[in-house]
Amino acid sequence: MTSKPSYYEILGLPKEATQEEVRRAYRELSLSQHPDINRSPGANTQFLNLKEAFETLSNPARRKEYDQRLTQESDAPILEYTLYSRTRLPDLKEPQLLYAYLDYAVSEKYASQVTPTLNYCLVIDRSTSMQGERLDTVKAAAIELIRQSKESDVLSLVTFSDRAEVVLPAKRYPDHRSLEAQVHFIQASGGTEIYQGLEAGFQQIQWNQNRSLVNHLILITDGHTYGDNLACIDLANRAASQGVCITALGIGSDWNDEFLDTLTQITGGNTYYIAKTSDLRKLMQEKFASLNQVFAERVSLKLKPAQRVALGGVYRLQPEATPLNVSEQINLGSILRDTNLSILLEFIVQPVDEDLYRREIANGTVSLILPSDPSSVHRIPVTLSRVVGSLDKKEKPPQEIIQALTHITLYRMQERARQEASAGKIDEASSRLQRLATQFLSIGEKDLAQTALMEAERIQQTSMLSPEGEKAIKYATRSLMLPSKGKEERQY
Amino acid sequence: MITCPHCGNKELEGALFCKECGSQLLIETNGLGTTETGMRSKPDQFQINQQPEYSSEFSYSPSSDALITLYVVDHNAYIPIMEEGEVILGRSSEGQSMIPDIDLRKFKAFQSGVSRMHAAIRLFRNQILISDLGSSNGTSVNDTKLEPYSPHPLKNGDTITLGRMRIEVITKDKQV
Repeated sequence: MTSKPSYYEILGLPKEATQEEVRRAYRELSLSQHPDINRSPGANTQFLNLKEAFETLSNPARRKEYDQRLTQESDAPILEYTLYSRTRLPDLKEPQLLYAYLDYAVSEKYASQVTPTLNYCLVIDRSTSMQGERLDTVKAAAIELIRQSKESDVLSLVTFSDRAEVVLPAKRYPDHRSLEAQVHFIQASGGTEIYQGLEAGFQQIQWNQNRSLVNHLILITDGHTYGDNLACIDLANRAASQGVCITALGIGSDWNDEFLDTLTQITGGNTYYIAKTSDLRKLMQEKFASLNQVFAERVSLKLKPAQRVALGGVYRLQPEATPLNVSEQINLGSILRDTNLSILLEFIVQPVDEDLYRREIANGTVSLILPSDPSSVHRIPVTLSRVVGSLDKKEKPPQEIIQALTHITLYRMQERARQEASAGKIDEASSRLQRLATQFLSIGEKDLAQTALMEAERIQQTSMLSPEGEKAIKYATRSLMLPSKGKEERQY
Repeated sequence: MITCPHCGNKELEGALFCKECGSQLLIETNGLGTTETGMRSKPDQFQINQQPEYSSEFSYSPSSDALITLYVVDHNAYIPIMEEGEVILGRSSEGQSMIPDIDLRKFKAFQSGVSRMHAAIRLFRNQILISDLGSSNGTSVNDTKLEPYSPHPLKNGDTITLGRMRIEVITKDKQV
């Protein structure tokens, strides 16, 4: 940030303030800051600054120029951009929904930064069910990652069944090729106790855990864990507080997606469904590539909704699309150099009695750490507000918001169908899946529509959804939330 | 409150989609009976629920206003298609919310092996295309089986077979 206060700060206005607000703020401030009234030293300069601020911001052309200059001169490593579903908040006597789309991008000045140094641990399930193709593919994929790691990267590998073994202790290895034999020797046997693996993996990362590194644990499993779920969640909370992110890859259909989703979301990470073992290598490659793109870590949002406003839902659209739990502090994961961090917030706004020109929606901060410059925690203020106006039924929300909500709606529908299915509401779940299929078709997702129809029929016959089908629909719907590719030209 | 035009579900003001059926709630009628919507209704995408006008219309004589007419051979019935766009052929079934644009249920579609969403016919600038929608028993044109989802052109006199149901295509200029 520039040391000199911006014209917006001088007038005490948000960047998106209307002309009306600029005029009002100037009128009010000039009353108290006019040198005739304000006798304090420096009053003259202060008033001149105020006048300059007003003259610039009240002229649309000059304001646009100033905004551009402000962005260019800004030293902030992260640029932010906010969109709302409505330009004005309609003055209604009933509750209403308002959506905000927040986007965070790496400032161009910082875009050519070097690749971050990783501190990662692969935690591999070697239970009996992994035997054969699964474990072989995991081993091959692990070797690929190890080969691609930089000499400066700290890497470790842990396997687990009923207990954990450290195959490669965390350190910087000068010769990655020599590690391959140890990975090859991994044999399948025993049960699945995820906590054992997570704990050992977390310990490996902790030895070198450091704010200048990208600290990441990748869990690869194909089974349910029994009795240690709470211990795992507890560990995820510890990991999150120390800036260690967890990614989970679930192979096949016999694992608990809700549990792994909760676990990874706590840390700002994500869970992936690997229907075909052959997809694993590609996915691990992509994940590894994105770790090497990390610019900001431990990105977290603390948001306090204003009076009579509630936060109804939070969705991360990219880099990894997933719903997030609404809590006091929401971990958003990382900002990558090549992919913005975009989130969608849903607010439920209750009517108020007062006549307000501008209604506060929520206030808070996004905090983050740059591994390339870890000395300080960066904080970006989040101030969401809307000018109150009359209801404009013709207004179309921004395309980004419509697109995101198209897919979020589908995600919510499949979630409800699953809830209905597990509550034994067979007919409801079945017809919801059919409606979902219609929507899938309308966006051209024919395979998904087929899967949804098959599940709709299956539940009628067997009173249950198939574990493959429900996971396929869930994770495919989730990945639909990713905005269509291409970096948008935007003014931040 | 907003009421979803498709399923009647109530949503809060400001909602953009119906939670129940997933339809977009931004649809505005602009007086001509056409709907202006966001990204959901590009002309090449289909909107199955929203065109009930096709669903039950059929007669025992060809209509001269139709762009094309589908003649269901075994039932001696004519189904007119009046507008350009895409229509879905299939059959409705009990307790199912999805109704294809052209519902063949009354022509013993189930017994003839017609899927619920069997095939789509697209009319666009005098071109008629048919695609199979991954149906269980397949779609043929003049006894040549179609690959699922790959459009095939139709001309006057072609015979479409959905499962075992035979339908003849009559285009406007060839009608009596």
